[in-house]
Amino acid sequence: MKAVVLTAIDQIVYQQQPKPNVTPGKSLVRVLACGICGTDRHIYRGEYPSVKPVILGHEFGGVIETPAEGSKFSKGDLVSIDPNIVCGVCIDCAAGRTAFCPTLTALGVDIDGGLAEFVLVPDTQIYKVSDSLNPLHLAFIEPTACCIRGMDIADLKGREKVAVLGGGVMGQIVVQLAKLANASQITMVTRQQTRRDLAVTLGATDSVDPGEKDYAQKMGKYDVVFECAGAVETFNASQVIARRGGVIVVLGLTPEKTNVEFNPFHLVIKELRIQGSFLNPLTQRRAADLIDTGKLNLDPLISKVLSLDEVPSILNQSPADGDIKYIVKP
Amino acid sequence: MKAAVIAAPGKILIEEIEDPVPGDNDVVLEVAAVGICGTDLHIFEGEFAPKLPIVPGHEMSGTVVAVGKYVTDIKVGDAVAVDPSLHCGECFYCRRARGNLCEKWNALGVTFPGAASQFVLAPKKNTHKLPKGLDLKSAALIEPLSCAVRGFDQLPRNPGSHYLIYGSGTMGLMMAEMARVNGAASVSIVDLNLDKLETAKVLGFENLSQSADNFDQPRGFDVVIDCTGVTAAIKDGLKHVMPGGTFLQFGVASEGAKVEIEPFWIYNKEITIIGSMAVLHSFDRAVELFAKGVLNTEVMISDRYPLDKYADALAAFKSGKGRKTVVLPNG
Repeated sequence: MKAVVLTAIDQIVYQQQPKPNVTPGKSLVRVLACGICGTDRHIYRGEYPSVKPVILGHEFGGVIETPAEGSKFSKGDLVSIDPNIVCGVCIDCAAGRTAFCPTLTALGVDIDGGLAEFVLVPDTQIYKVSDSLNPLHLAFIEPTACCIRGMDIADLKGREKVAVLGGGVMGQIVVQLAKLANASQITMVTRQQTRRDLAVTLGATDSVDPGEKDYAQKMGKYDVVFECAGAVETFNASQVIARRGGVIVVLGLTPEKTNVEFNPFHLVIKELRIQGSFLNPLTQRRAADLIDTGKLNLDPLISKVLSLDEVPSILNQSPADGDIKYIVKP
Repeated sequence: MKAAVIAAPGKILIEEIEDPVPGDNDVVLEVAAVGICGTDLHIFEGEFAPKLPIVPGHEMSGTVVAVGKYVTDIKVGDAVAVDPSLHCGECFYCRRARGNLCEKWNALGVTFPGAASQFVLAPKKNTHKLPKGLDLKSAALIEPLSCAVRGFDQLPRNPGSHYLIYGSGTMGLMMAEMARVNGAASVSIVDLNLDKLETAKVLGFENLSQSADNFDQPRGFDVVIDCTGVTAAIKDGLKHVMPGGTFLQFGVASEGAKVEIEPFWIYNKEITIIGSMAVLHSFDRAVELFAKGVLNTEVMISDRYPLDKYADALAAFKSGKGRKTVVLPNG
């Protein structure tokens, strides 16, 4: 089969390799769609740890090609994959904090992932979706599950003012989730005009260009700030925008060893809450069901549909201006 | 009556002023004890600038000596403690039950006359009756305890959690006691000052060190609480939060202080960093906890001064030795 393999930092190849064989408890999935994520670029550049060599791709779904013996899945089932594999019995798993399971391994990071024609997946990671789902939308279930984790942390009760910093795929999904959660105002903050306009069509009430001078000071105060850009500048702006008693949810991946400053005095007098949101612990099913309902507008987020052989050159460069999501159809 | 008055930054006088007269919904108490806190020092030193002159003192207990026309459930002779917070009740935050963040925040001893005086006026809604038999001269500890309760309201408070506390002074020790009553699996305390750690030992705490690296918690702590406001302590404390854990900023840092953190770590370990501000719907529970004997008052109060020596009491507090300093305006 064809696959995209990371062999070392900054080295990625498109190559032919053997199709995996079904083993007990693991079914073979034919990949129909795999998203390229910012994390893939971080892994490629060595900014996020991974095993090498490994087939990249952790946002994917497909059809069951060969079910494991005794599997509850059948050949032809349309399925979404949760790439994060945990033990399920350690103290963290038992407490629902599966993202911190010490044995956590991820398809597309530590084990071969979805940028291939086929992938061997433990049945525990497979979620069946309805046959009518657009297969390209399978690539959005994992990032949506991560955003749902962030929403759970934000704990919106309705009528909040929400700021979303970063207009990439996470930001654009968070905008839609905030709308579903009845936020009264949703402000998209991102540099590119096309991304701001897109957010407004998806449910943002307004948008702000962070290129404008003192934009954060002028924005007014927000109950919840989603930091989806993973940049020092946006982290700092979050602290200005959050109102007293407000919440800053850190969903964006800032490279390791990059530091920002916070003001502990303001943390006290404003009673701010700054909280990280990591991965998709126990949220994949909800994300799959939500996408199945059709309530998320995903087609405008698809900027390009690629074939596997195009992936190495794409990972090499930043996405073009205005582009949100590249999806690979292996 | 006699009162301590901060007339200008750095200038405190003991003066004879008018006795307070209760309004229809007020009570007047004869002050048994008034505690000294960092806020008093900030006002005295002009760093926190309400309108001067002001009678300081917001940690207070006493006996009711007069009540207003509409005060029916509090009687002359009742022993009480007073929540000093004066929330407007009308602003955005008050209407969201976050009065401690009130846009028109006021407080007895900060913007209204406080308890560093023989008598003090308090709204009845701020006045909490104390059970019989409590030592009134220690009950000034209830207000700081109510801040500690608010701090714990900001935490997950999961039973069986491991707590790490920076600072073994009055507030650090109160937070440590709160951890204990909230079912902590362990409580560890860091302080650079060995005398202060010795006090924690007297209170029965065992995991005490000048460095958090000496504690055997390889995964980190569920909850880390900074009670120092010192940036070096905050930075060190953040390192010791376990994945999924919470860092509570309780100590008040200087206004311009900055602490470096790595957003990747907040994200990757799902750390919560949260602040706690003063008192919020926590005073009545502090009364209950105090009455139950959660605080060892013999240990927690280290210094007692008469009203005439208020300036000395402030200086003693500033020296950082001992625990809570209280002034006893009526001897």
